[in-house]
Amino acid sequence: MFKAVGELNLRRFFIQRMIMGLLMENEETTSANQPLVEMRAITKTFQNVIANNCVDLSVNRGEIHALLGENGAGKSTLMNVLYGLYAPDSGEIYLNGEKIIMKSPADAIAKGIGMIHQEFMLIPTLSVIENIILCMKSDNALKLDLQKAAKRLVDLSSRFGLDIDPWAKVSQLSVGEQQRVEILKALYRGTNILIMDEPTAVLTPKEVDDLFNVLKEIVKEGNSVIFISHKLGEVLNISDRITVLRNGKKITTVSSKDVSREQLAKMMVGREVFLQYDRPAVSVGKPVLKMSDVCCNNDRGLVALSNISLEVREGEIVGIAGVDGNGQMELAEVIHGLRKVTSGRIEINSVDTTNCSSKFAIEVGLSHIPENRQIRGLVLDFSVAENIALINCEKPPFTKNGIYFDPQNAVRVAEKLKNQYEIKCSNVNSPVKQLSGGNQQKVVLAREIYRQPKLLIAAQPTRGLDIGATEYVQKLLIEKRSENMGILLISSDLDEILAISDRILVIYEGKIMGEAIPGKTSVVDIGLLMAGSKVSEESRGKE
Amino acid sequence: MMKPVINKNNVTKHSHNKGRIQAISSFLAILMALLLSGLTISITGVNPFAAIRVLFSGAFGSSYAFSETLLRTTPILIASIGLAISFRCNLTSVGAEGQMIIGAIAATFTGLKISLASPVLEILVCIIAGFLGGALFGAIPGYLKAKLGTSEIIVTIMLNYIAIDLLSYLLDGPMREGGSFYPQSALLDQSVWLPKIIAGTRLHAGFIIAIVFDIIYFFLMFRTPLGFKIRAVGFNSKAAEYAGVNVGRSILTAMMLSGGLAGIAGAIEIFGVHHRLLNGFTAGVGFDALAVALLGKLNPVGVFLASLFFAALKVGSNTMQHVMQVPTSIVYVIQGLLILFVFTDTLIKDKLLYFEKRLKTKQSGE
Amino acid sequence: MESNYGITVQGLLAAAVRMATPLLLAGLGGLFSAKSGIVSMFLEGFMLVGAFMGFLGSVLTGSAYLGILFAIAGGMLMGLIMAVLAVSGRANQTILGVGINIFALGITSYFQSVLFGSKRPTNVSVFYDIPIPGLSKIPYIGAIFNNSLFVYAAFLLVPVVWYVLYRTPAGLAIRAVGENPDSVATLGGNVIKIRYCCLLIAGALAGLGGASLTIGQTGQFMENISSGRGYIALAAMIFGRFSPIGVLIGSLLFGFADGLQLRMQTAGTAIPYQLLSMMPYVVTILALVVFVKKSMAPAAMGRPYTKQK
Repeated sequence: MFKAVGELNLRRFFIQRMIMGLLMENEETTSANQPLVEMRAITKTFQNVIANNCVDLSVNRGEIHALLGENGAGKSTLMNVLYGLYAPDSGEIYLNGEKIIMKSPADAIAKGIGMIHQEFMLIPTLSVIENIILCMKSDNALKLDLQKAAKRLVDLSSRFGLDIDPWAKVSQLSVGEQQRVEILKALYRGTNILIMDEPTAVLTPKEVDDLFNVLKEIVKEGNSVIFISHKLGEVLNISDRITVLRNGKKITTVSSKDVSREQLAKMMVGREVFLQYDRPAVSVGKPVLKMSDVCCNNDRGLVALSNISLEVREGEIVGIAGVDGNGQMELAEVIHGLRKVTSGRIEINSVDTTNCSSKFAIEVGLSHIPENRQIRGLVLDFSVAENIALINCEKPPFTKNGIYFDPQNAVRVAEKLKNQYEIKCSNVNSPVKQLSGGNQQKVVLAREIYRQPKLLIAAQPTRGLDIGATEYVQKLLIEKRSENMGILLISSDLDEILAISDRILVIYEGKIMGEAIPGKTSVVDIGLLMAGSKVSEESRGKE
Repeated sequence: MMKPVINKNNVTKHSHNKGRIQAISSFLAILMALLLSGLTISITGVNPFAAIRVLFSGAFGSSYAFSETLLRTTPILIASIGLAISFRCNLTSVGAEGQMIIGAIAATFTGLKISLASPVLEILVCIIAGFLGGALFGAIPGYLKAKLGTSEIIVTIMLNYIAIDLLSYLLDGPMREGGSFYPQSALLDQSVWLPKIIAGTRLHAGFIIAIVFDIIYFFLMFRTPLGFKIRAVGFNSKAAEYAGVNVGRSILTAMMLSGGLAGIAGAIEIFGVHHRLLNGFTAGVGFDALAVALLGKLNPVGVFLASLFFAALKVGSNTMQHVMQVPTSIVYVIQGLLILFVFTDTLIKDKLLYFEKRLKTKQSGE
Repeated sequence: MESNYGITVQGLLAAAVRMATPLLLAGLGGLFSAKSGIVSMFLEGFMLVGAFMGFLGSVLTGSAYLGILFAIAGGMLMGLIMAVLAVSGRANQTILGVGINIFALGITSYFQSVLFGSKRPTNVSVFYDIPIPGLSKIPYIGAIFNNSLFVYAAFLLVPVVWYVLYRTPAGLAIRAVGENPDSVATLGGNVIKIRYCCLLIAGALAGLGGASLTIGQTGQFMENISSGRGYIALAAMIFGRFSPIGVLIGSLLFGFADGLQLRMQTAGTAIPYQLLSMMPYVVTILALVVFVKKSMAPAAMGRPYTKQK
């Protein structure tokens, strides 16, 4: 279903149409430069939130079209509508000038629309080829012909430069490889409109380049790619045209050649955005975290951390940069006592906390803002007050005499924190699952900082938050730094790390590849470290 | 795209729903269960309305019948409180039956062996023995779950069968009443019998003890750090772990409390009603407690009312069998149906929301 | 009822195979629902219903073969009920399973009392042992090939179930649904339909397993005749890492324990019979503890599926 239109014919057609267009006012004839996909006046509401408000989008044949906006702008929702996952409340979708109604992704796939979500929809226990042909109509209901399918897959993958082993189990593939499988899955089913939701979030800089090359190959054949992102640099780099969304509304569509980063940022956010903070000079104190040659394994028994040695001192923010999945989660876990080390030593506040319990680490002065707040940070069915009391519930102020836990104590503390952190909720007794992502994160922050920790681990603290909440969190971390807290910031958002860290340690496959100083070390060098390359001796830190 | 998967079990989720919705869904469940059971009864040629009438008169018709109902409520209430504790920790324990038996064995053994000055003290020691027996038996699935993640459902069910066999063995041999033809233990000394609280009936002090435990349950769950931790682990053990809660210890404690309470239920049944150890003394209370904990939505008041309801079913069904020849197994039918229907509140809520939405779009569409 | 082989290797093997059959049938049925992501706690109840319906069918029609149809129908009806409550109703699958088991116990005991309480049917048509010519004469293991159709069917089903799950498109879809139903939905698969079908199959097979206890053996139905076998089948499935071969091995293991303790009882040992009859249950716990380190359950098992719209 890949249309091979000869370039010469195309040009002739365009000239003809231009002349016709000049002579006639009537635009309704179908022609080759009509947009491939048109979404008109799409509105979609969820409960009380208008996710898409009368949004128009048109995507041409053979173009890479970026959908730009910050978290919560409505980009994913719009594409989920195009992919048939959601039915719009109002509005229409046109494919090649024909109106289409899709009741499910199956309809979308049948029409050539494929979507690759941020969280891959692959089955890890199955092989690549099984994932690719899953739910495809088969000639023979009694037999799965994997060999034939694998052959077709190999042909397809070599055509677009996407190397893959059809028989590998998906769970054993790297994230970049899994993304390749997702792309192949779409192409195998005859997709000619490929939607990708934040595809570079999980890739190293080199993998991003590889992906962009693949996308260019794909559109060369007349297919289109819709690329959802919140990263300005990439969007300007790869796309032909950019549509900016903000708060559910479409702001504008521009050609990427005609617009600057600052202009895009302003359109995205609606105001001047700096995300650059004043970091007052703070004299660094004694170490609050000391890790020496720490090694540990992950859940599958493979090595996750390999001889990690690092230090965090009072009054400094140490940023751990790296693509997700290189040991960051395990790093936070071993410090917190949630995972055993296989060797090495960890000291929090000069106390040996190697292989201690979670409780002990907390008592020695650790606070942890975990990634994945809804699973690791909060008990969604508990109220705000109960979540605040979750840590040290058996101690004052929550339990005064060791036995009697008075819920009112928790409520009082929660009220105080609610005001201090401006947490928007109807009252502190409402279940925390009713709060927005930003406010949920504020609850976690409030609880963790309330204990006045010496060491704070902040893992992906602004993931999924809108710009306002992101600013709040980042400013708060800098504030605590001035109060002599030692902060270990783990983030896959390099911009964030660069904005607030004093020192950067790059982690790759469980090893610290090197140390960088924001401003002194070039981003290119940091990117190289993130991708596993060694850099010149000057940029290498000692720890 | 966040896909939070925390508590696969939507039993504990109910405790934050509005009490009214919970009560309504429980009532609807009772209604549906009685309806379908009535249907079953009518298939076999018996008039269901007459049968239900006999059932209720058998349970509440006279003051003696009422005392019997309260009598039956006692072990069910205590055992279901135990199950409620384990459910709140997201543990599906089906082991009340076996834990009751072990508790009863421990308590009876103690009662037959010791002799203290004060009868109150003796009874107390025996009940504690019952608690310990049940708690140790409950510690087995608790420990296996905490350490290895072994399914507590299968382990508790297996332990039930093991306990039944153990009891039978003990009553055949080691604990058999000297020279008796029947497999039963020696009779407990009258001094340790639980005193009757209403003369002329079988209702004994165990009923008061059960009510006291219900109140203790409320305090434990909602006014102590231990209860708070158990609930936190039940809703989201990962977040609890991050917050410094020792998840394994909470699981073990919950299972031991659960087993211990079932053990007390067993001890009280022996010391209050039979006064000696017998085969089959549990009379299915363990399964009743399961349905009661669910029907009562793990709530202290709900569990009390549900226990009362089930006891009424048990007592009334005996009368129903005598008078109308309806087999007592109908109680299991009702129980099973109750469990099946008690979770329909999500279905009902969804349907209501769906109809509301249809109405709204109809109104705004035109 | 059981030929007296005494405690010999021959006898134990024969007993293991025979006692494993109901576990195997129920376990294979449970495998379908488990692979599609439904907790198979209901096997005990399905077996009971199948046992009773098989018995009832045989009594009513006089033919054991028609009894099988009754058993399958009864099991499938139970499967449908579970599907409505668990898949469409999205209720807690574990507790629903327990509820179904209690309900099944009640309803089968009830109808047993009402229909056959006063007079037990005699001469109920059952499946007799059919020796396989040649094979049944082999020393030591020959007794295995002298069994009823239930036994042969159960063992033959193992490769069939394997093929269906791992070599057909439908099987691929089933396995995918159990791991990540959202993925399957985005590819156009009908998660609800797949789960319903799997539950119907589970009902049919587990019902068959139950029938093997009545019309496959004594031709009598007793209250609670399954006595926990459904749970043991579930344990066999977990212990067998949710694979057909694993279910086979697990069933044989527990069947062996069951057969051993029965033989020891009839052979007369000093060990009290109650301690012997505990054995299969103890073995089940030990097997779970010793051999099941990490859950190999399908990732989405137990999680109710909600369609996104």
